[in-house]
Amino acid sequence: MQIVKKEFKPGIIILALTGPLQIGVECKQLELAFDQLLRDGHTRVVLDLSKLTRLDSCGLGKIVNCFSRLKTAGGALCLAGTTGMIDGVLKLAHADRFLKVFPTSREAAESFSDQPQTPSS
Amino acid sequence: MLSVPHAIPFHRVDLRPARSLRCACSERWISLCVAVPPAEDLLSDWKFAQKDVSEELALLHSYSMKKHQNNSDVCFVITVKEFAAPPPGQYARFFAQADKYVNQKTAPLLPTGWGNSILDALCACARMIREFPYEGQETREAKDSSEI
Repeated sequence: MQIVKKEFKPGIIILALTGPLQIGVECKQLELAFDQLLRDGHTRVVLDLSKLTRLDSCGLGKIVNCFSRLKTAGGALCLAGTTGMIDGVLKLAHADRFLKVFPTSREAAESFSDQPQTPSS
Repeated sequence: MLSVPHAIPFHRVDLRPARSLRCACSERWISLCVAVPPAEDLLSDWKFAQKDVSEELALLHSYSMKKHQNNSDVCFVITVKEFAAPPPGQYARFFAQADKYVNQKTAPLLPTGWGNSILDALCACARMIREFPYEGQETREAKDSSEI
């Protein structure tokens, strides 16, 4: 899996994932990417899943784990560009109830611009 | 002479070489071919009850597991749906879902798993139960949930 990091605006990061997000190396890659973001103080993140080819429950668990870490740090995580298969698995796990999903990464990133960043507790 | 029951579809019959037998008179080895349909074919006739993929006909398999947490046990019931065909938009035929949420305080998640066998789906769901803490009473929403 390839992870491309872009800074949409200061403090708002877009991570574009290409390939499968499955148990093993890919989950670890995502975890390390979030470790780095949190170290750098970035807590408002968009995951662009438009080029994600496959997602297993471990990958979904990792996304939820990243969401929880950002929320604890006073930030937020949004998803963008989910396809039919990924929408289905989010719904299956009821993750669509707390993960905001936008059609494009731009719209997701712009949704952050409207909200002031909450200081971490 | 072996006969194949009519109920077994011929195109799925697997002709595989079986063991060799030794003829008592000539002491020769005789190879036999036995028609052995895959065990799944004998048990999966329920799939023919589905007319269209959108009906999402599924066979249910139930399992239970205990999660040991904070000196107490939480019992999870996992239902694995074996779909006659993968639901529209999905690649997997087996979907597992637990009856209780986990991680309720931060991001309430219903443990799920999917894959191409019962084992794959069940393992994935059990992994999610182990990974996230159970943080509260079961909600009515989760109990009533039958979405897969």
